[in-house]
Amino acid sequence: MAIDAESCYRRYGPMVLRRCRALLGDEERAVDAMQDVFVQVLVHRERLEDKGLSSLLYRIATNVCLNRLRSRRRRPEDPDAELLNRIASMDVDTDRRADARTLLTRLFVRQQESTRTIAVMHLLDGMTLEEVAHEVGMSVSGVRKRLRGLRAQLQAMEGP
Amino acid sequence: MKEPTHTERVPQLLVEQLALGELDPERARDVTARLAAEPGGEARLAALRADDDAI
Repeated sequence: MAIDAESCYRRYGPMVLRRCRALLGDEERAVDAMQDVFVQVLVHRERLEDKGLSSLLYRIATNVCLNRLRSRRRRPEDPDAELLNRIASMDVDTDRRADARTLLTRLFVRQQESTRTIAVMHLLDGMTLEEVAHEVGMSVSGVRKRLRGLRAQLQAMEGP
Repeated sequence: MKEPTHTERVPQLLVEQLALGELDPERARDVTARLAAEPGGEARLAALRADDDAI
């Protein structure tokens, strides 16, 4: 059953905008990213159900923002450190923030979208493995495996 | 890597889902209790609702 895109926007728009603000740290870019999220909703509205869309929209918003950060990272006028600091400056403890900064540098370049989302939810948002698994519709062991794969890839990249 | 635990800050998505009424009753009770135990947790929920109104 198709969703009512307008009521979806009214209900979830504020949540999506807050997510985009938190990741992009810039109101104008956040509004722009939010609009992208709802363009995706419009495109896929025939396949969506107007029920409990928060998890899906949160993931879409995360991916849209990560893609935008990745694009901006390629521009010379946007220093990498500034971008990563914006993400890392979310309310997380220092250890995890440092960890996240290292991981995200690689994530932007190499990781598939779902793994990036999982890593952001776990490392930056502070969600437990169980919470991430619930949100992305995977098993806890599947989430753990993705993160383990990510760490292994990082270690391989960094050498012995 | 440090493993997040339930004693830490309630993830924002859960606060959003609580405000949207999208958590099942048991989960909603758990998140409400965690917010109550978190310094400034209930204020976060109130601020989110105020932001909803502002947006």
